[in-house]
Parts: sequence; C-alpha cells; structure tokens
Amino acid sequence: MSIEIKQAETEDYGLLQIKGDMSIYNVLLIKEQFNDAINSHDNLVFDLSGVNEIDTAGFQMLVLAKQEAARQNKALKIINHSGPVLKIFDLFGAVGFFGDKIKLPKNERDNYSFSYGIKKQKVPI
Amino acid sequence: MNLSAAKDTFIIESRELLDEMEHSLLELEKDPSSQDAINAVFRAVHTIKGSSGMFGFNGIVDFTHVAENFLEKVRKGTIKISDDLTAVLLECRDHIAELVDIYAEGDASVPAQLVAKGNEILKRLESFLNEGQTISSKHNEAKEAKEAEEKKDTASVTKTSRDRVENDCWHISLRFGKDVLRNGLDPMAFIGYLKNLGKIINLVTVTDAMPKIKDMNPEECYLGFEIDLETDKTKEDIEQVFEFVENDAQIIIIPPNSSVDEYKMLIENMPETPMRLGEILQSIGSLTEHELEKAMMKQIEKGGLEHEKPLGEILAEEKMVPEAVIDAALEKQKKTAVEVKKSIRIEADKLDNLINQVGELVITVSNVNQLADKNGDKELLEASSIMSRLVEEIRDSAMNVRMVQIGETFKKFERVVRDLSKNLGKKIDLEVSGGDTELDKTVVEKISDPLMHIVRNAVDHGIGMPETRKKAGKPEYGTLSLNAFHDMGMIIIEISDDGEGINKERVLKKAIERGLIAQGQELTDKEIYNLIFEPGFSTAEAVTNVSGRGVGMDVVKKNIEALRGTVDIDSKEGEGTSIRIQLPLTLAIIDGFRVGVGETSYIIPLDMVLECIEITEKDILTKRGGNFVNLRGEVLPFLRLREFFDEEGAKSAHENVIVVRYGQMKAGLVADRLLGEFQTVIKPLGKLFENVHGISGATILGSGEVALILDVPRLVKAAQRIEEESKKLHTAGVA
Repeated sequence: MSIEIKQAETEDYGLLQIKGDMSIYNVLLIKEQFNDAINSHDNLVFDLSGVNEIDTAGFQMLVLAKQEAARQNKALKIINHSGPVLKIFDLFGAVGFFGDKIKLPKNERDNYSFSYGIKKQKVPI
Repeated sequence: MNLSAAKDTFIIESRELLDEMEHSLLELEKDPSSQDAINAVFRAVHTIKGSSGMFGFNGIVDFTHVAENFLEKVRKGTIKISDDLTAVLLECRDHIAELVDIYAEGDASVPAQLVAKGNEILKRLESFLNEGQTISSKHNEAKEAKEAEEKKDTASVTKTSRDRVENDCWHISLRFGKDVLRNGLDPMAFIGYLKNLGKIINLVTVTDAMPKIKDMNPEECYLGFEIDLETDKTKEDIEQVFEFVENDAQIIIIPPNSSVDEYKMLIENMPETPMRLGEILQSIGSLTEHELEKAMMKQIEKGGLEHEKPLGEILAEEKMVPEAVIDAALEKQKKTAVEVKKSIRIEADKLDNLINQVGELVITVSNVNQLADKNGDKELLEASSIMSRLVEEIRDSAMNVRMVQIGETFKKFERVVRDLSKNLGKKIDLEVSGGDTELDKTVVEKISDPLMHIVRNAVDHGIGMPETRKKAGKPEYGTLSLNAFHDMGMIIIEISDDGEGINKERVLKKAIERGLIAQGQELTDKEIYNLIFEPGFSTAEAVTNVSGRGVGMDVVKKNIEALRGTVDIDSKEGEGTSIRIQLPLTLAIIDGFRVGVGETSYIIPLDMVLECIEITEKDILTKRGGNFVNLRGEVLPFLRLREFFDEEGAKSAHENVIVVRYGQMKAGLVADRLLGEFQTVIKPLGKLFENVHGISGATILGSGEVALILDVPRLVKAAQRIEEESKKLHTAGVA
C-alpha cells in the first residue's frame, strides 16, 4: 500500500516516476508531489510503469494534474501506462481526455475494450 | 466492498424475506383477496432475484425470474389466487430456500436434480396460466415485461410530449457525492459492475467539478459520469447496482427511447451548464443534434418563464422521475429497507460476552458496596451507591439488548400447522396473540423445539377430524391458539386447542400398564394429566409419522425445566387441552431478594416476592415443619427453609415469612433474617447438583461467599403438597 514518487529533471522536462499504489491511502502525498512538480516545471512527464494499483481516488489525481497543468498553460504527458492504469482509463473512457499515446503489445489488446472515450478532446478548465 | 460480508447479508436477508413470503402465502390462503400479501410475496421474490443477480447466483436468478413474472400476473389479477396455487407457491418458496442454502454453503453450482425439481415446480405454476399464455418461453416473456415496463416508465413522464429520442440505450447520469471515496465506495466498482448487466456503449467521465489544485481535497470525489448502457435489464436492476450509493450520489436513469423531456430534466438538474452537458450527451450519442436542440429550446423557454425555480421544486421534479415508475409495492419495499437500516446485526457471541462482563461488574460492585459499608466513609458510600445505580441501569440495558420478540418463533408454526393439518386431513385455524412479548434470546432459541413438539402434538392428537368434530357438535375448523404474555417476571406461553381433550381413563390405564403408577392409586385430575410428561408415555393408539412414538413430552418437560421453567397441563374431555409454560425472562442476571437462614444466604427472585411479614410462635397454628398461617383471613401454606435445607446455627427470636407467588399459588418461605435486594448474577450449578430440589442456581456475593438461588416454583409446590398431606392426615384423623 505504499507509493514512491521520484522526481528527476532533464533539460526539457520534469519527470515523475510513480511506483506503487495510487489509491485513496496515498492521495495526500500524491497531491503534494504533483503540486510541486507542476509549480516547478513547464513540461511534465509522468511515468506510470510502476503503478500496480489505482482506484478512483488515484485516477482523480491524474485528472487534477492534467487540468491544473492546462490551467497554468503547461504540458503534461503520461508515458508507460501500466496495466491497472489502462484498465481504469478504459473503463472511464479517459484515453481521449489525457490524449497520450498508448503502447500496448498485441497479445494484451484483448484485455481492454477501448470502445469509447478514445477521441482526443479539449481538457475542461 | 467486502464481498463475503455482503454475501452473508444477502443470505440472512433472503431468509428473512422467505419467512415473510411464507407468512404472506399462509395469509393468502386464508384471505385470497389480500393485495398486501400478494405484494409482499412478489416483493420477496423480486428482491431475492435482484440481489442474487448482483452476486451472480444464477441458479436463483433463473428460478425467481420465472416465478416473478408469474407473480406479476397474479398481482395484476390476471391469475386468481386459489388454494392449489398457494400450495405451489409455497413449494416455490421452499425451493428458493433450498437454493439459498446451497449458495450459503458456498456451492456455486446447483445439482441437476434440484434444477429438475425447480423446473417441475415452474411447470406446475405454468398450468395456472390461462390459455395462450406461457412463461416457459422465458425470454419473450422477459422482453414483454420489460417493454411493458418501459412503456410504463415513459408513459408516466410523457404526459405532455410524445417526442421520443432515437437512442435505444439506457442513459445513466451519475454525480458522486464528496464522501463516497472516504466511505470506501469506489465509483470504479459500480461502473465496473454495470458491465455485468450489459454493454457500456459509451461513457464520459465528467471532470468539470474539479477545483483548482489548491482547493482540491484528494479524499473527496469530484467526478461524474454520463453512461450509455445497452441492456435488457429493468430499471430496478440498474438502480440496484447503485443501491449502496443511493444517498451519496445523484443518480438519474433514463430508459431507452424516452422522451426528450427526460433529458431536458437531466440537463436542468445536473450541475454543469446546459451547454456543456448537452455537448456531452451529444458526444456520447444519447441525443442527436436535433433532439438536443429540442431539449435546449424547452430549457430556454422554461428558463425564461420561471427564471428562478425554488430548490424544492427542482428536487421534487427530480424525484418524480424515479417515483413515477416504481409502483406502490416497490415503494413500500424501499420504506421497509429504510426501517431495517435502523437496526444493526450483532454477533451473538459479542452479546454473550457483554453480558458476562456486566455480570462480573455487578459482582464487583456489590463487593465495593460492602467495603464502603464497612469503611463507613460517607463520600465513598455515596459514590458507591451512585455507581450501583448506574451499573444496574447498564445491566438492564445490556439485558434488554438480548430481548427478542417471540413472534418470530410463533410465525414458524403457521407453516407447520398448515402442512400438518393438510397432511392429516384436518382443518385447523391457528390463532396467535402476544407475539410482541419479549424474552431473552437464548430462552427463545431453546424453547422453540419444545414448543414445536407441543404444537405438533396438539394438531395430531388434540384436534380431531372434521367429521368427528361435526358429530360432536363443534365447528369443522379446530382452533389452536398460541398466546404469550408477561406475568410476575416470567413469561407465560399458552398453547390451547378446542379438541378432544385428554381421556383420563386412557391415561390411567396406560400409566398402570407402563408401571408408572400403582393400581388403585388415587390421583387428582392434574396429576393424571401430568403423567403425560412422564418418560415413555404415549396414548396415541396409532403411531403416526407426526408424533406418538412416546419420545417427546418427557423431553419437552426436561427442556423446559432446564430453562428454569415449568410446564402445566389442563384439559377437559371433549372441550380441549391447554398447556401452560412458564419461563424466566432471562438466564443471566436477575433482581434477587436475599434472606439469611442460619449461616447461609439464599436468594429469592424479587419478581416473585409479594410481601414480607414477621411471625411469632403464636401465629403458627401447629408446630410441624410446613404448615399454614393466617394471612389476613387467607390460608397461606408455608415452608421453613431451615428445616427444608437442614440448616444449623443459631435461631433468631423472630422469624420472617416471605410471601411468594407462583402462578395462582401463594406460599410463605420462612427465613431468619431479611437481607434486602441483591443483584444476582446467575451461575449454573454443576452437573452434580442438577437434581437438588429447591435450588435453581447459585450466585456470588460481594464478599465472595456463595448464595443459593431458590427454585420458588418447586418450593411453592412442596409447600402446597405438605399442606394437602397434613389436611388428608387431619381428615383421616377425624374420620
């Protein structure tokens, strides 16, 4: 039930590597880290490859980050979606909302429906 | 959500519903026109179907689905209630109960044999349908019912408009309340569950309510969802998915092809602006552009006319939607559901534990009291007396928690009496009164079996065949009545019938045959009747499969006595029999009255104490141990505890008589000293002392000493017997 968020910096963007559970138990910590990251970078990349569990509260944090970044005219990109992240994106029709490219091996394609919420859309602010 | 806990709740609730269903069916048998009863039966089946669906108990769903459709027709009056029909419906109930048992044991599959049995029952149900109707073509029927329901759904809200939207999916609008996440309810789970009902065609997560990062509380939920769901389930089925968040979320469900008005209402009621919501609805295909325009036009029109609508009105309108489609029966179900929530289920073990602890507390407090008394410190005395009072209150509340109504037990007998009398070809009405009388849970549990035995006996032996009854000039229908009430800190349960009564001669003959009494022995009527409770006694001429194997009444008596209760029988030949059971309300803690005899303390249950009087030698008419005194002109037999228990130690100059009552009998118990009220935690005596006469238990005094609790009923009887014997002696002496 723990979470680890590593912040790294490159020339072009701030990178957040999130490992562990993005769940209601950790959302306070997540919010703090996200807030820091958004305030200190204009370009953000979240690497979610290490997220092994995510619930609605955790999902909501990603939405918050996306909207807050848009509000401040900053860019947020999510990469390396883990299985649980894709599951909730798929269920909530959120792929288009986040608008990031998703890499998925062919044999895992059938685990998801991706039948709605695929089209890119404007992030409401 | 903890699924196994939810499953347990499902099992418990289903069983309760089945009990209710049984009760209602029996009521229907008596009064076929009772709409309430029909609705209750329908509701039970409907709810069980709904919840089994949630858990994926398909065996139950398959069966109840057909039964529900059938009951729907009964409810509408298409099918008439008859005795044959209620009989089959009772079988349905039993079958559902069996299925529930299977799932309760964790078996996921229903044995083929049981499925076949279910189908056979359904086939018989089908035979009640008028020609041209079938329920076996389940699918069509379901579809039909659904269509009818949809029509009803929409008809109720399209009074003004006939515009239907093209979308043939259900539309579900959800706005979760702030606290859902904190309450452990994850929207993901609910939406994920929708997939079990059908296919999510489209879904938009509405994030418009998300505040700026500095104002956002990560533990609150800001999300909403607009969903298009393709399913052939009913509105209730969908509503049930969200049952747990019903109070924590705004939920609007719109059936396929509803009127534009419904969407208009949705747009009006959701927090987003009409433009934004309209956009969402159009993007997921719930509304076409044209339909959206129409809805928006209406919105604008309305907005222009009544610019500021009172909040109450908006709420009422919002409410109106679901309310209109739920008919009276379901409405009622909701209400009961709310009532049920007022009580919680507690494991019996926890309660027992609490009572034990309260018991220890009571003992400790009496110890403290005693020390305070010895000490003589005024403040300490005051504090300890307040503490005693509080502990007494705690004790009462704790005991009260364990009190349950006996009505549930009585209800069980309805079915037993019905089935038995059908089986034997008898006609019997069961009258129940005093079902709300409360007594300790453990007592209720333990009395259930003995009661069952007595009831079966009454049906089998007590009440005769209709023809016999007619010949005897009695109504064809026999009456068996169950009555419960409180009296003197005891609960009294009476089981009486207007049957043939007990044949004294036959009882006597049998008793002599079995060697229970000697030839020529003289017995009072009461004594003869009580022979029935002797081991190995049965007068039934034919051993039936119901009763009459000679095991029974003695066991009944033993069980009742184990509860510190007594049982009495009274009968008049040709008129009926009445059995009276007296039981203590509780088995744990009682208010006692402490008396001293010699060195020993005895406790008399305070409820049985009427008064205390002081006597002198002069008042005692004879000097023999047990005899009688004159109590304001009344003959009061008494019993000297000193002699009865062979107490030694110094006699006091004055003796006290404690007048106790048991049933209709009064007696005096003579003790040396009166020591006052005492909260008594009853500790059972060991096996070794089981047969000690006159003692029903023991308790621990504050000082750590043991006091014995007197078995007043037996002592009273003993006093009476001694008096009668002396009377006999007396009359014999005179003659």
